Amino acid sequence: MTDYGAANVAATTGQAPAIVIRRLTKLFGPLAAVATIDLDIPAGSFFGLLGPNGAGKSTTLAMVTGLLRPTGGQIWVDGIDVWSNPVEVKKRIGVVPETLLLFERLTGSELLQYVGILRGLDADIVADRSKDLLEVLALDEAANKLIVDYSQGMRKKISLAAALIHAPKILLLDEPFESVDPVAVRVIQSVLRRLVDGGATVILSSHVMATVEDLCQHVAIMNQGRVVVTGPIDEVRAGGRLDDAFARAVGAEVVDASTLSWLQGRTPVDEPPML
Amino acid sequence: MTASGIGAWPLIRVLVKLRHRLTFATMGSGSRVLYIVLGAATAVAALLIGGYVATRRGNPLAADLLALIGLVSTIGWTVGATALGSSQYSLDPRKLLTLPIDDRQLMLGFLVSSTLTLPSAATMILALAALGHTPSFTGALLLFPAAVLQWLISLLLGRTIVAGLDRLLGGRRSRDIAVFLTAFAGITFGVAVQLFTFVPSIIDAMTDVRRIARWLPWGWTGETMALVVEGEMSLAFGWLLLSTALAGGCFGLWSRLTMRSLQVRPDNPPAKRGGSILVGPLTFLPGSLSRSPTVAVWSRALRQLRRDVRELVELAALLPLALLSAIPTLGALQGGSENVVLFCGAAGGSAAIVTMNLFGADGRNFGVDLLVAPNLSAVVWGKALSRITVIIIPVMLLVTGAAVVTGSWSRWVLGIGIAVATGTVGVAAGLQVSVRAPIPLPDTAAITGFNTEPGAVGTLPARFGFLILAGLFGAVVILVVFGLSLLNLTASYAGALTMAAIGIGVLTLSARSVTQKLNRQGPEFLATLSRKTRST
Repeated sequence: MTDYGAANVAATTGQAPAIVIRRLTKLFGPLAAVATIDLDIPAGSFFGLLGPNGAGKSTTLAMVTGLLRPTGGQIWVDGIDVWSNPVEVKKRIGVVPETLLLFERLTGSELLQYVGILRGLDADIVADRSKDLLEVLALDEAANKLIVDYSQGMRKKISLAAALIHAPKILLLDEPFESVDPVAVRVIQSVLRRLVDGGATVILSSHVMATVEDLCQHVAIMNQGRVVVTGPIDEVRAGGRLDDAFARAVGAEVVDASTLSWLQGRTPVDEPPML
Repeated sequence: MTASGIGAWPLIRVLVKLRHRLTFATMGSGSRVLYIVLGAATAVAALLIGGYVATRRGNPLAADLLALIGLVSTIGWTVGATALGSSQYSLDPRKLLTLPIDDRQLMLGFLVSSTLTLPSAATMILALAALGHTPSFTGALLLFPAAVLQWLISLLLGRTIVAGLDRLLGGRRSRDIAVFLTAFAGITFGVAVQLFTFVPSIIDAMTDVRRIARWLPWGWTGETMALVVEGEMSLAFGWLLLSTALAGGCFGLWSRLTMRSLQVRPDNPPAKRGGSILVGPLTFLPGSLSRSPTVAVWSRALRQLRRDVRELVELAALLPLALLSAIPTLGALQGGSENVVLFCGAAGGSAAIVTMNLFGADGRNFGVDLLVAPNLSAVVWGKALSRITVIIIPVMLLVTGAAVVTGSWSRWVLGIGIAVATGTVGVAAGLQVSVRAPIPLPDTAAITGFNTEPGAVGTLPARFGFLILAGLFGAVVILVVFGLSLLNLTASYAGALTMAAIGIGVLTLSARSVTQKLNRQGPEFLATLSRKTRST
């Protein structure tokens, strides 16, 4: 199963990483969304991919999951070249993409059933796992409701359930906590921790520093299509807070007092009539 | 720990089930009945035509007719695929890309699942009707695969072309052109079909068509069948081989192109920054005009027309009316009457159809209008103007074309007058329906013939009611102008002008009443537009 690329990587890194990225590039016309990046994601770890909007996080994850063809470079997932053998890679991974691609006219329960069967699972196993997942993610009451009627948070959760149904070795999540209520965030976090405790690797992109700090052991910060910092989270934050390290890495600018000064003036509106 | 994947046949079975589940889940019970009734009607029509061809064994026209039916079938599917675009799958392949399924198997599953539909069944019946002409056992051995290939090529050829031109057809410029061409093609077809009656000999025409069609991929299976009926077995075998290669080639190419296009296009491509609020042709407008809220909404609505394929599908509704409105020209053309221009002017009534669901694609976006616009008059006028902009050109071309055909330029003015009168009343009716009986379009790009939201059938009475009113007014306009034209030309000019003025007045009143309703019941209207299912 392990091909030359992964063997080579394993030999150079001393361990078999879950994901190895080499010279990965994605161009959209003249724009380099991802500009020749290298990245190793340790197996069995919780890995955070950080970066400001437009940094190239989602594009990178889309290429790793076989959803977007790279312009150049190579990716190995669990030792398999993604673009040489995408079917084998997809058997091992679960994906919650940024743009949730769900069959809106199925119920949550039907979606899990179809995804499980299309993944080659036995119908009874699918039924059992669906029940468990819907219950844990607090979707059991909405199980027979069409997905089109789900809230954004519920859509994230059903998408996560669909990504977990085959117990993937590697789970990739693009902004999993966006639009999700705090209670659901805690639930999702506990599910993900459980997955990592079982030996799986979870890679997530997020803007929420507190969540990443809480969950991840390793991070990579991207900016303008490049990986600017990567390593164990303690090394990256260097004794400080992660958001400070993030701001330093991406060169965030502070808005000075003179900017948008007009916001402090009053908009000329009629005074309300005296009653 | 992980699943082992799914085999080819189980995959096809699941995709067929999934497709039908999605198709029926999208329709309300009323729409479902309508779909089944219309589908059955199509199948019966196909059976009747097929039966006619089959029972006319020995008919000297049979060979040419089979070639022609094959050509029309494959071209019809190609036009349909091009008009709806490659993204119009009720079973969107993008949603299965994260699953461990081999590309070739996935596309095979899509093909098989898409064959089990009513239009596909009707095409199959039509193709198999050729078996009624089986001259011998060898003939049957050739006719049967030819019929199956005709059905397969019908399904595949258009999709392959669309997949190949995906980037081009997906571009906004192409959609601009497509909007005008679709409307124009419908009207032109309506007239062209009637011009066909001038051809002195239908037999000669059919032979001519066949002579050209046999060299086009769309005509290969039809030619195979025609040759079998003529007893040219060895030649027919050659065309059959060509058709087989075409079907195989199409499947391979379609699979490759589709998967490739899915994997190179990001969900959210990086946007180009900058650019004007106003689109192409509107950028020339003077600054003061371009700052007008109505022009801003007009421009935005035109942009939406270019970007939102659902709007294009709505506009395709122009075709039936355009065709119907051109039918009365048959008698006038045959008689060489100048009055053909009067009837062509009725194409302006198409305006009613294309403005009937002005807000259907707006969904929650209408909330933005509610928040920022103190008065929704600009929204109503801007959106109506966007549709008027789209239909003005084909209507003008139709009226002018009819004037050229008849050489009667004096009637051109009348034609325009009628188009304005019926068109404005049509838009007025369309506005009323848009607000009183809106049909929220599905969020996804999955649009099929009757894939409207549940509850769409409930709006039919309002739709037909206003359409009938607009149609009655159109008839009155034509009768008045036609009647006056019998007296003298000046009187008919005055009549057309008066009717146009009345039409503009009706439109103004309608826009005002619609604006008042929206200003008063904006939140309720927003709730209707953003309604997702009947249960919410």
